[in-house]
Amino acid sequence: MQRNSQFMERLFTLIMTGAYGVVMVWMFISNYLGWSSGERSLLSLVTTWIQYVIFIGGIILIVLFFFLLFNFKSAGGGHHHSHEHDHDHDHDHANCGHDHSHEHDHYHKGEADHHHDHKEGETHDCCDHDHDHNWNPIRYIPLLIPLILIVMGLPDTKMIENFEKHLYEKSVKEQKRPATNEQMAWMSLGAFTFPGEVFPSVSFSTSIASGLLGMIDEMDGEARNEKPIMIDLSQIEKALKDPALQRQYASYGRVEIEGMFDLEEMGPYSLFRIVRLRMACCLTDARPAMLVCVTKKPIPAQLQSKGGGSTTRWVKVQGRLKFVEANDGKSQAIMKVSLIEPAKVPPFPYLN
Amino acid sequence: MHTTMTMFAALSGIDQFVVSFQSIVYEALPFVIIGALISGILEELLPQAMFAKMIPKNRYLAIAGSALLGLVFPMCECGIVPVMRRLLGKGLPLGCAVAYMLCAPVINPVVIASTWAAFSGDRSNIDGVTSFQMVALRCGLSFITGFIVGTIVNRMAVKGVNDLIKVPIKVVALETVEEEAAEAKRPWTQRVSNIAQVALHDFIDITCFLILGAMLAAFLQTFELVSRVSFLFENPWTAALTMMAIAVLLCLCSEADAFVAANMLKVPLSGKLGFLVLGPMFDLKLLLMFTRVFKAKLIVTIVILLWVIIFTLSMSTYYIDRYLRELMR
Repeated sequence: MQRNSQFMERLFTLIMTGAYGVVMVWMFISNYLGWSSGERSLLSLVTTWIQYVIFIGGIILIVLFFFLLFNFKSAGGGHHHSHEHDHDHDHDHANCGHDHSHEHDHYHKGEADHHHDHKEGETHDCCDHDHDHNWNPIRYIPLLIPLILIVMGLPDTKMIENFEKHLYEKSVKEQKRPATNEQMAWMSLGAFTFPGEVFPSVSFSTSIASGLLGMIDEMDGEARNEKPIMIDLSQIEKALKDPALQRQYASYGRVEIEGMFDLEEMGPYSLFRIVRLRMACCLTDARPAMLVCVTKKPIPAQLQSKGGGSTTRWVKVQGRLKFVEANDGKSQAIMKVSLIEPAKVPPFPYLN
Repeated sequence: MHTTMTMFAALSGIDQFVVSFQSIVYEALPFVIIGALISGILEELLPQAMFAKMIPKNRYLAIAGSALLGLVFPMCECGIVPVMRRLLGKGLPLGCAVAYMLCAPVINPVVIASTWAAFSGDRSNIDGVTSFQMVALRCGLSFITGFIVGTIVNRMAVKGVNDLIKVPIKVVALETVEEEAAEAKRPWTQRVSNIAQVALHDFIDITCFLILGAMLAAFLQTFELVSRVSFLFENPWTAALTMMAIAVLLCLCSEADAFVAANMLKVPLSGKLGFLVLGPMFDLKLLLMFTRVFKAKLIVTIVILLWVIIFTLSMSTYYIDRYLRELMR
């Protein structure tokens, strides 16, 4: 009986190890060969450097799996029945009967306590599994859940998109404060100071939009007809602290930025945000970075509704960047857009 | 129409849950595997007699040294439990093991760099604290906390280690040296297969609890805990307590939590410090992992000590900071 339950224990450890190893390596390889079924691969749940750690972890598991497999028969052979008190012990000596007696002596001192463990272990079941040697299948149920979800292809592109959308909509809602009438009046006159809290997610009105646009027109004119320079939103966040970078970015005749389109207000002057998520480790800690954009150009039809996830709303915009000082003394970036084009979501759509 | 709406709301909750759960699990899993492998290697290759000699004789020195061990032997919080358990089994005193377990996920090069990065640039100076000061505060407070908890646990261990932990501790005797010499002669295939067995045992053992912890964390994230309690952030006292509770419930990785804290602009310094110091030391998934090593009595002691010490430290830092600012004005 005991031998049988130990056999089951080893068998299940072996199966779980193999399964997780294969899943982790598969996640990595399928991502880089573009085999994943949806638009978004599962690997994009974690940041780039951890993707490599997942691959390394998977390889380690597969290697360990083979070592355990080749020793499965000898390990399960059951010559260690005398060590039932202590799991570490039987791992040490599963394959090496020769130094049994040695080790056993050293343990005698703690023997009484092991018996004590034993009794306690049975009262709260799975936590003390090592001490009672009945095979406990309940322990393997949690281990199955992430595997089953992966086999079902979950989370799929739609789920990930909903998650992202929820994340940035929440952050917009938290930061959003309507501008006061006074602020609006000033801005519609093209005043150069902005209330700090309105960026990056003010609830704009068309009058503010025209004010902003008028101001930008006055200062820069249209984007120049030159090769666009690619900038991402994390570079813009960095520039907010660095006046030299601001001057450099503002001097570019045409910059290109990619991200998710979020429409705020449409009219003769339209206002929208370009949103990207920045991620440190995994999607759970992601936080949005946004850029306020103004444009006189018509908004493409498929972007006019507010619904849809990033796959349908991923755009590239071209135009000129402007840095203005808000009334709290901080710099804010704003872009006057002269081209809006739907684009393909990159395989890893997050910024570091 | 109404039913479709509620159904949609329920479904979006499921989306939240599945995405949070899977991203926490697959982010932490490779680190658990690496931790389990290191644990297996330590078990097989670290000679016990040599290890016993390496530990300083002075108790306080040993605990302080263990708290700083992460600088040369960095581990993240998910990987550290199996490693700590193995070191404990190898004869590292309990106080030292606890100090190492609490401090290494914060006081290590990777987390120092990520904390610095999170509080630099546009996020620095929000509370009048530069990114360098933030790193110093985080590491300093973690060290003090780890040292105090380690010392107290060490005192408790004098009365009887076996009431506190579930790991059998090997007794270092003279024969061990001979035995190790005999062990060294074993063929490498056998050694590797032993490493594999120990590592996989630890992997299965810890992952089970990691998954349960991730489930709880994902569940709480789905309920949007942080935005529901934001009114508590206005007062430094409630902010510290709330942020500590959030750190326990969210189960963020110690490399990522600084970015989350840096972006919570409204939270005062006391709340940020409470979050940054407690998070890597104790959260739901760690609690479940602790049950594999410690007995209830020790877990309760550690948790209460952590809360009391970290709350006191965060609050006093907050008031000292304010006092110094007034002086300089």
